[in-house]
Amino acid sequence: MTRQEKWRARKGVEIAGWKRSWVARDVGIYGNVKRRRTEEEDKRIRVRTGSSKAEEITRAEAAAAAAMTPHKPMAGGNIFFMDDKEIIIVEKKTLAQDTWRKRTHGVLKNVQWSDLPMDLLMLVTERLTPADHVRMSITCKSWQCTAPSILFSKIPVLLFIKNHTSNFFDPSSKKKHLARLGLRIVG
Amino acid sequence: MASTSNSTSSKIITLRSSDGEVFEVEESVALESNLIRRMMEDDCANNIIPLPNVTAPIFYLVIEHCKKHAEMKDNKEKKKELRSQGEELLKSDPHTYSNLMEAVNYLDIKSLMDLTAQWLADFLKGKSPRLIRELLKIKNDFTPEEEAEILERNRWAFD
Repeated sequence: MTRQEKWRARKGVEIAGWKRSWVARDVGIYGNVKRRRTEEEDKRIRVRTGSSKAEEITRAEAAAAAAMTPHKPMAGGNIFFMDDKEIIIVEKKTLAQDTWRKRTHGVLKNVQWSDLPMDLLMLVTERLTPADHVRMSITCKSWQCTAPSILFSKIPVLLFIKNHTSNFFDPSSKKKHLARLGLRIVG
Repeated sequence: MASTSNSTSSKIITLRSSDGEVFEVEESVALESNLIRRMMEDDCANNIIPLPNVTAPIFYLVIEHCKKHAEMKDNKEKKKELRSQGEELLKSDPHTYSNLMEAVNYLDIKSLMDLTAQWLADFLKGKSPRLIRELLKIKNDFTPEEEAEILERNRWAFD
């Protein structure tokens, strides 16, 4: 028995080929897939949403999950694909998975500043001057990954050599600074 | 609610936040969100649209901002008002502001993403890391040694 077949036997899932998966209705919607939803839970959802067609809602929810994927590549975690009525869930571990899990398991109650995704922080940092950007990026560890590099900053800086040290001129503050680029200038 | 006469023609869309509250929003407002737009295009939004990642108070804020933003296009005063409101929120309740940013990002509302980012950027301007941490209630997770090293490496930014 291959690993895949063993997995299938253990989970009691009948799928042909790895591409086929459980229909959307059977998947606990955003979390990790552990088990099928029971009849009773299905009924409860139907009652809560006041709809006679539970399927319609789950389809919408599934689409919400699918719609989340294309612009959330950095969030990591599970990836959802929409394939007619079927959802394929691929487990992918990334650094951000803890944050992702917090977000996907039900309610988004407590987004701390340090939980903000990188792409959102980028929107902020691209509006800052280099000095402000540096100061912002050293407030906490998760913001540190936005730290700018002088060499790749959006606002061009002028690099120059003075007294055998590398310096740069920041046009936004009109000041000269000593650059610590790790370059040694041999004179 | 006073403007029912001119909004009768626009469709009402029903949305449900993660804590189960149901919102009725005009189509023009709801379509600001690319997430909802995509769901409508995929034709799976003929019933209540669930928003599992947004709580009711935050969603209420988002709708308010969306409406104001739509009005503000040709009104400079409204623009100022919205801006001062955003800054007020950032000062008084930074936690809600971070939730708002995240919700706006999840709903994929481009205009509000830019606005909230711009306000935050304006807020951060000229502030020291320690002050930012204090004002936004961010926990300092650097060890004293690490912090000293980073400060030393980036001393130019504090001149």
